[in-house]
Amino acid sequence: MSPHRPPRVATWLLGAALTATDRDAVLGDLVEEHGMRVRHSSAVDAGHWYWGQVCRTIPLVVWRRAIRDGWLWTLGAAASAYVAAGFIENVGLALVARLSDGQTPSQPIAIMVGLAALAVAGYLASWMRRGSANVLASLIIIAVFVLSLVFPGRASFWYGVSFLLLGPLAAYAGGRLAERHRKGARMICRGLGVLILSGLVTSCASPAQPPTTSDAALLDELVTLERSALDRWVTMDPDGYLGLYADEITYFDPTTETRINGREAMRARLEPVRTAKLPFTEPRYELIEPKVQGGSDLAVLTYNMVNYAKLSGRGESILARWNATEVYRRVDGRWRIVHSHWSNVQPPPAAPPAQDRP
Amino acid sequence: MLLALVRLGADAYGMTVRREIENRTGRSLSIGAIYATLERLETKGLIDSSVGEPTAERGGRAKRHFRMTADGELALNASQEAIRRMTLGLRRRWSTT
Repeated sequence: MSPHRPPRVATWLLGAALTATDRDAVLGDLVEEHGMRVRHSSAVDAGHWYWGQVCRTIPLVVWRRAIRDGWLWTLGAAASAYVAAGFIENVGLALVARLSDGQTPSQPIAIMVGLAALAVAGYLASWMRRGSANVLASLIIIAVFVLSLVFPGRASFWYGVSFLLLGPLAAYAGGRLAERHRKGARMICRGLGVLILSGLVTSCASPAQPPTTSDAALLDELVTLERSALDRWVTMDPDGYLGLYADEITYFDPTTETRINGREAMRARLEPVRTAKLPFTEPRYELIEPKVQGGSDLAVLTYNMVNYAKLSGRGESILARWNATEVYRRVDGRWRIVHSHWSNVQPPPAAPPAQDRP
Repeated sequence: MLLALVRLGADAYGMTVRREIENRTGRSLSIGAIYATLERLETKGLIDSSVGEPTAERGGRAKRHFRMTADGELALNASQEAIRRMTLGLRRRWSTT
């Protein structure tokens, strides 16, 4: 720092915060007084005074600009539009699902609906307050980035990248359209209508679809429930499954002569399991290729399972192989098993007898 | 702030106003607070401003001079009169000397 010149960093910081109108007057006053203080006191004291003035002035200047230029209103408009985008997207996805017989929309369709919603949100933001669409675009980048950090793996990589790159562009485009065609709003609405309609048509016409993000989330949720019950089951604790069964559960396995109806019947059937003594230790299982089919309230989970354990005098062996079908239904907002069917994969392993099933 | 402008006359700009108030009241003020107040007064039409010539001692930056308008003088008179009326006869109540 030159003894005759004020601290450059402080000058740059304050200059960046000030408007062009105020910059010369405010910085000039500080530089002039700094020079006087250097002459009458010392360069160090003058430098401290200068930094003090800058640090006290910047918050005031920023606050004044926020009020005068309506930054808070702009931010509020952008945040409102972001919330509206979420609502529009959900409505769009629900419409697509309804028009395609309850099938969850495929990932490309979901992305298209999401981007259309963001374009509409950009339009709304700009309509509410000029320039808000740009702030909305920034909010989208931040939100996608934060969500991908907080919930890693929740959405596919391409799904996240699509929204990170195209989301802000959609919002910006919506905002630009609103500003350029304030009088031609009909044209924009028509364009967005065509975009959404094409999404609906494509969705209805599309054949077998790959697992979507929603399917993946449902699969994760049901497999987590199933594993929580299985983890307890292999330690001879049936309460995990009993807690998952709906009151009207129906059940088959290779040992049942007739269907078992209802949770109380299942409770009676599983009670002896708690006190059973088994000729193996360290049981574990492998859950293979789980698949979920279904919609929002009814889902079929199928998978294969292999039971392992250590037998006395032998190492770890396969105890049983299973084909499993669990029908889940959403009851009072929670997934419950309404039907369960277990069958052995033939031929069964030699000895000992296969571990029983719930 | 208006009184400082009256005292400084043609030499009233940000730095001198800040120093004038600091010297007379003993309160340390930031230049940001001074300009915020001056801007409010200008918005209300109580003062106006003009930009001077750039000078070397200011790093080539121009001063912004402020002066009181006729409305400002009226407002100052009204304010002084209000204070006079409110304090009339009260001096004895808080003065111990």
